[in-house]
Amino acid sequence: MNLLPEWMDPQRAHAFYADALFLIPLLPFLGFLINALTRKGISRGASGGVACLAAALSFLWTLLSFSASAGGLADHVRLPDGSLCLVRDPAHPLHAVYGTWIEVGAFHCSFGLYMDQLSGLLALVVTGVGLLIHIYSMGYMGHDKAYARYFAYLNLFLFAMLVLILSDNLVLTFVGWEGVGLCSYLLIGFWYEDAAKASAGMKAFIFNRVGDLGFLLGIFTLLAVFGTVDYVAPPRQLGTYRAPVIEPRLMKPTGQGGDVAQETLLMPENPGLLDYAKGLSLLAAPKATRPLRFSTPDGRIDLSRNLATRIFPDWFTLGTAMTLACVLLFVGACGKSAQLPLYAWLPDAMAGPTPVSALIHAATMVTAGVYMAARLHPLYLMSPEAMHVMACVGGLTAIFAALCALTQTDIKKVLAYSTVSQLGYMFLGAGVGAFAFAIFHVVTHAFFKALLFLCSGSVIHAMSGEQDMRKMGGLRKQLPLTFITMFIGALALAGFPFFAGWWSKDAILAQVLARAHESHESIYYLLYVLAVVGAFCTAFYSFRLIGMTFFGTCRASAEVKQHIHESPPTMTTPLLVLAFLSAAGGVLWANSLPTFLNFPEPTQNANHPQVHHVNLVVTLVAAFGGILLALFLYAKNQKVPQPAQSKNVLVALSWNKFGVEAFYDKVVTTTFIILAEMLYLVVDVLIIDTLFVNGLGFATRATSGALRRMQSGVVNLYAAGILLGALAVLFFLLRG
Amino acid sequence: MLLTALIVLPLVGALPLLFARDQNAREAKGWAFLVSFVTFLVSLPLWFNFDPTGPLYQFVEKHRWISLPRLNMGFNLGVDGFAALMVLLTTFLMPIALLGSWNYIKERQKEFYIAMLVLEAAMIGVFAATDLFLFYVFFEASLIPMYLLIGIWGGENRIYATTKFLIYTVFGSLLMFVAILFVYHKTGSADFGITGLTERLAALRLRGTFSRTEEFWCFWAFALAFSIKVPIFPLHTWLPDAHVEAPTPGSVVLAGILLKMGGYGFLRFIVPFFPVASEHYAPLFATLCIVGIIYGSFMAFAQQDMKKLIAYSSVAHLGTCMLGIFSYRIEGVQGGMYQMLSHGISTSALFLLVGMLYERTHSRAIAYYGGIAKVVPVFTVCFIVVTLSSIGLPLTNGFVGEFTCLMGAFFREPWWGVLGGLGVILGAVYMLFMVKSVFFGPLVRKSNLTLQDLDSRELSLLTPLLIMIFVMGVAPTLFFRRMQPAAEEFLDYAHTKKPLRAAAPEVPQ
Repeated sequence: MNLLPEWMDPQRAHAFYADALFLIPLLPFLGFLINALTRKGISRGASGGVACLAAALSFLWTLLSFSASAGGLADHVRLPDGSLCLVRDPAHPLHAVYGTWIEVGAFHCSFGLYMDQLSGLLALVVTGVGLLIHIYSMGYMGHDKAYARYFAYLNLFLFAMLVLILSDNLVLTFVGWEGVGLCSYLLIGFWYEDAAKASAGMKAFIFNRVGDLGFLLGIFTLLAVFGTVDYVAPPRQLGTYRAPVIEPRLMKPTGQGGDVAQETLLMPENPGLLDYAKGLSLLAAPKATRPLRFSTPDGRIDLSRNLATRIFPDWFTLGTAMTLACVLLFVGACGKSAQLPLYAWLPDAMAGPTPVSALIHAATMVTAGVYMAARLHPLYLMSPEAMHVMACVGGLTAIFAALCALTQTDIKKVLAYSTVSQLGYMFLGAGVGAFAFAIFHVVTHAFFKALLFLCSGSVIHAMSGEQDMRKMGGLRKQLPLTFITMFIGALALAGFPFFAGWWSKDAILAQVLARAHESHESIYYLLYVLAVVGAFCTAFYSFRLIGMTFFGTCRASAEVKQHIHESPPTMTTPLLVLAFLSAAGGVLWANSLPTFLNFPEPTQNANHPQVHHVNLVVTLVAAFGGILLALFLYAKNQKVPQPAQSKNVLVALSWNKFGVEAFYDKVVTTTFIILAEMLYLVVDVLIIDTLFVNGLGFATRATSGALRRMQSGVVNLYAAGILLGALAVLFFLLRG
Repeated sequence: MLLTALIVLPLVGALPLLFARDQNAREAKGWAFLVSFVTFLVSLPLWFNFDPTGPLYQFVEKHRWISLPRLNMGFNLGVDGFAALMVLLTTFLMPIALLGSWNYIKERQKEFYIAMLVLEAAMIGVFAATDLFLFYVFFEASLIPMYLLIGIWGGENRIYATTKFLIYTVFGSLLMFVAILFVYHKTGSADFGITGLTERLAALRLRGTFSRTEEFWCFWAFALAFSIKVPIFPLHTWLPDAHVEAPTPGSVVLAGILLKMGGYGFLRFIVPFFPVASEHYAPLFATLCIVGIIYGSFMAFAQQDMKKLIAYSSVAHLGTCMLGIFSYRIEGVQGGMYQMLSHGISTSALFLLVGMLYERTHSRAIAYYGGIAKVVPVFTVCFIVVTLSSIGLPLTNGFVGEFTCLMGAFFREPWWGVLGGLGVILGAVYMLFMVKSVFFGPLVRKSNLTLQDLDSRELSLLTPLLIMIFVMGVAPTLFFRRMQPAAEEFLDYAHTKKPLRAAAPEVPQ
C-alpha cells in the first residue's frame, strides 16, 4: 500500500503528509463555504459539482496520506542504559499539531490531527462512501429547490466527521462529535416546512446532547486522572522531520525476545492517554488494585499529583476511575450510535432525505461511538466492568432493534432499526474485546447499509415518494439495477456466506462464543443466543423487505405505476460501486484486520477451532433460515402485513417498539412540560414574586397606610402624643 | 488618561444633545452612534497596548477627588486583564445597541440617546474604578439611566418592571453601602483603594481584629447586592420583567453588561475582601447556581414570550458562570470570566434579533410565528448561528466558557459538574424548541408572508457579533492569556495565600 513516488524520500514525504493532514477536513469545509455563501449565486450543477469535487479531493488526499502513513520507517531510540537501538515501526502515524485551542491552568488542548491505521481507514470510508453519496445526491435531489443548501450541509458534515476521526485529542473529537450532531439536526429537518420533520431533527439533537453530557464528564474524569486529553504524545521535532513517537510496545531492543520488562518501558515525554494506558498494561504489577496516584518507582509513569485523588472518594482505584470514565464515554456513544436507551431518535431521523440517511444515519456518523471505543480501546481494556456494560448494552440493542424491524412497513424504518441493531453488534464485539472486528463491521456495514439506503432511495424515487412497502411489489422488472444491487446488499446484511457482512458479523459472533466458552459466564452464553436470534431476525427482515418490494405484483395506485422508472446513472453508478464493495469488501481483510490495525488480539484467542465451527454452522442456519422463511412468506405467498391491526401480542409489541418510544414521546415529554409550567406558576410567580417580592411591597404599603392614620390633623391627638412621649422620657430618666 | 477619556467621552458627547432643541432631532441618533463609535476606537489600546505579562493593573491613573480629614476618596482608575476586556465589551456593544435602536425609538429620541451615553460612561467607570467608593458611585449611577430607559421607552407594563428593577437593586446596594463604610472605618479610614482595602482586611484578619462575625455580616451585605445583580436564584425575578419591558437596546445593555457587574463584584470585592466567609459559603452559592441552571432552564422552557425565554436563559448561563467562579479552580475562574464575555456577545445578539422581529410585527409571542424561515432566510441563519453559540456548540464562544466552567466545577466537586452539566442538555431543549416553533413548520400566519428580511443596517450590526462568536470559539487563548493574571490574583486571595505587600497599617482602637 505505498503510493508514494519512487524518488520521494520516505521521511520527507512522511513529514509532508503529516503537515498537510489539515487538507482532508479543510477541503469539504471550503466546499461548504462556497455553497453557503453563494447560496443562489451559482447554478445547480456548479453547487453540486463543487461539493462533489471537495469530497473527491478529500478522498484522494486521504488515500495519499494513508499510504504515506503505512510505510515502515526506522528510528533510533536511546534506551535508558544509554545505548542506541533501532526500532522498527511497521506503520507509523501521521501526526501534526497546528496550534493551541484552549489553554487554561494545567488544561491544554490543541488543534492537532492524527492519522494512524484506525483513523486512516475510517477517514477513507467516510470520504469514499461520502463521495459516492454526494454523486448519488446530484440525481436524487435534482428536483429540490434548496439544492445548494443541501450540498453545503453535506460538505459541512464531511468536515465535522473528518475532524471527529482525525483529531488527536478527545476535546477536538468532541468538536466533530457535536458538529456531526449539528449537521444531522440540520439535515433531518432539511424539509423544515414539515413540522414533524423539524421535530425529528430537534429530537435527534436533544437525545445526542444527553449522550454528549456523558462524553464531557468522561473527558473530565480522564483529565482528572491523567491530566491530558491528547491520545498520544505530541510529535517530536527533529529538524524538519517529525520523528514518530514510538509506542511503548515497541520499546524492546532488537534481537531481544520475551516480555517487555519494566526496565525497558519507555514513555514519551508528555504522554497521552493511550501512552499511559499502553504503558500501564505492560507493567507486571497487579492491575486491579492500583491506587489512583499510581506511579512507577522510576517515575516513568507518574500519576502521583493527579487531581482525581482529591475529588474522588478514597476507595477509588485507578480501575474504578477507568470504569467511570469509560462508562461515561460510552453514554456518549449510546447517544451518537443510537444504543438503548438513547436510540429513539434514529428511527425518526429517517425524516431526512434518503442519501442523508445513508451517509449520516447508517454509514458514518452513527458509527462514531464504535470508533471512539476503538480509539480508546487500551483504556477500555483497563476496565472489565465497562466492557461488560458495553457488551450487554450492545447485545440487548442488537436483538431489541432486530425485533422492532420485523414488523415495520416503512421501507426506511426497517433499515433504520436494522442500523440500530447492527450498531448493537459492533458494541457487542467491542465489549468482548474484539475491537478490530467491531471496526471491521463498521466498514462492511458502511458499504452494505449505504447501499441498502441508496437502493431504497432509488425505489422511493421511482414510486413518487411512497415509502410504504405494502404499496410496492413486483418492482424487480421495472427497476432491474436497483433490484440486483439491493439484493446484494440484503445478502450482505443477512450474513450470506462470502458477502461483506458475513465476514465481520461471523467474526464478532465467534468472539462472543469464544468469550462465553472461556469465561464460562452465563451472561455471555445468553448474549450469544440473543445475537444468533438477532441474526435470524436480520436475515428475515432483510428478505421480507426484498420480497415485499420486488416480488409479486405491484400494489401501487395506477397513477404511481405510470411513473415508475429506473433511476438516472448518477444514482445507479454509486449503487454498482457499493454493490461490488458489499459483495467483495470483506474478503480483503477477513483475517488480517487486527494486525493491520495494530490492535491486540482479543484475550480469547481464535485458537478454539470447535468454537468457530459451531459458530459457523449456527450462523449459517440462522441466516439461511431467515432468508428462506422470508422469501417463502413475502415473495412466494405475497403476504401483506397489517401490523397495526394485528391481534398477535408479539406483532403488537414489535410494531409498538415495546413501548419505549411512546414512553419518551408521551411520558417524558409531558412530564417535562408540566413540570416546567408548574414550577413557573408555583415557584416563580406565586412564591417568589407574589408572596415575597410583591408581598414585601404590599406589606410596606399596608404598614405605612396604618401609620398614616396617626397623622390625622387632630391637634388634640398630637398633644396627647407629645404628653405621652414626654412622660415616657421622664420615666426612663428617673429610672436611670 | 485613557480610562478617564473613555468615561468622559460619552458624557461630553451627550452635552450637545442636551442643548438640542428638537425632541426628535434626526441627528440625535447619528451623533450618539458616532460618539459611541469613537469611544470604541479610543478604547482599542486596551486590547493592543495591554501587556498580559506586565503588571496586574495597567492604564493606572490617580487623581485627587474628595480629600477630607477622615474621608479620602480618589478618582483612581486602572484595569487588570479581565476589567480591560469588560470595558472593551462595553464599548463594543454600545454602538451596536445604538444602531439596533435606529427605528425602534420614535419618541423623546434625544433623551433616549442621552440616557444611553450616560449609561455607557457609568458602566465603563464601574469596570475601570480601582477605588471602592468611586466604584459604588458608578455602580449606582448606572441604575438611573437604566431606570429611565425601561420606565420611559419600555412596553406596557414598564412602570411595574422598572420599579421592581430599581427597588430590588437599590435594596441590595444600600446594604452594601453600609458594609463599605464599615470596612472603611475598620481598616483605619485611610482610603478606598481596592487593593489597599483587601490587604488591610487580610492584615486585620491575621491579627484577629477582624472577627468571623464581622466578616460574615459584611459578606452577606456585599453578596446580596451582587447576587441580585447576577442574578442568582431566588433573587432573579426582576430580570424577566425588566427584559420584557425594556426597549431592545436596553435589553442588550442589561444582559450584555449590567448583569456582569454582579459576577465582577464577586471576583473583585467579595472573595478578596472576605475569603473566609466566601470559602464557607461557596458550597451554598454553588448549590444556588446549580438550582439556577436547572430551574432557569425549566423557566425558559415554560415561556411563551421570546424575550422572557432569553431572560431566563441568562439566569441559567450566568449560573454556569458563577459555578465556575465558586469552584475556586483556575479553569473555573477563567471559565467564568470567559462565560461572562461570551454571554455578553450571544445574548445581546439574541435580544437584537428578537427586537428586529418585534419591530416588524410588534409581537414577541412564540406562537405568533411559525414557519417564517422560508420568508426571512438570512434572519433565520443568523438566529440559528446565535442559538448554537448560546447552547454551546464547539467552535463557538459558548462552548469554551461552558466547558471550562464545568471543568472547574467538576475538579472541585464532581457532583457540581454533573448537575451543572444538565444545563448542556436543557439549554438545547428550550432554545431548539423556540427555533422550531418560530422558524420551522408550515407558515402559521399569512401576514408573516410579507416579513422583510434583514436590511443592510441590521446585517452590519449583527456581523461584528457573529464574527466575535467564532473568534472567541476558535481562538480563546487570545482572551485567556489576558485574564490569567487576574484569575491567579483572585485565587491567591481566595485561598488567603496572597503575601501581604504593604505592612499592616495602624488601626485605631
